[in-house]
Amino acid sequence: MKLEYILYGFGVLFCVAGVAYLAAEFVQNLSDLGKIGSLLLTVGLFAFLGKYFEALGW
Amino acid sequence: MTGKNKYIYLLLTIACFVGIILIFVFDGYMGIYDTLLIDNGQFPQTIGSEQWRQQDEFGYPPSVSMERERSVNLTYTVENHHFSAYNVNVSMSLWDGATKVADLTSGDITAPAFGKASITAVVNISQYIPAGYPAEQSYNLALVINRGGVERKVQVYINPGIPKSGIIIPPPPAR
Repeated sequence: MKLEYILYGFGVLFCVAGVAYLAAEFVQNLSDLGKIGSLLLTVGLFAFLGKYFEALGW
Repeated sequence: MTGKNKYIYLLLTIACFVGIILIFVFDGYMGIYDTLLIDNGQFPQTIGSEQWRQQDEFGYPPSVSMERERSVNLTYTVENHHFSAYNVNVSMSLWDGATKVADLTSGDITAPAFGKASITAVVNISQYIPAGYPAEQSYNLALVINRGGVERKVQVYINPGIPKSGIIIPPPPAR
């Protein structure tokens, strides 16, 4: 079970790192609509991730 | 909480992540991007999409300074992030207010899919300063790049030169 959490942690870390890399690289070229869309999806991503961990019993 | 709900949240999380990636790829990467490299042999300066966007949004053009007696290479590069080739006519010209001073270069360039193409011009700016203009005063021109109807403007500050008579330093005031 602990190993699972460690793998989840790595997964989350890679997701955040990937988005951060893309953000650093391409955010300056995003349109306003793209920026607001990304923001909403980021909020949704962390909200659903929180609910997922809550469902896991955290 | 049922196990099914758990996986719905996980799927929604992944869907949000994929959505962000798709937005970055299709909105942030796909498109036509242009840069201008101004190389005076000492301090190459690049003007890119950030400065062009500020020009579109706020109106003020990026600026570059040039020395009178030094030639400057201008390289305008178009990056095509589309699945098909991009063919466009590009022209560069110098303007003094509403008056065109000179055509620097003009021509068609073709950037292949996910490739780039560029057009260059060599400018010796001193020949565009009006005759008789005082050497010790700076002069301004505008470099206008027209790419298929898209206009890019760069403010050119021409630094004052040293007058042939030399610089006269006034004596210090008497005490």
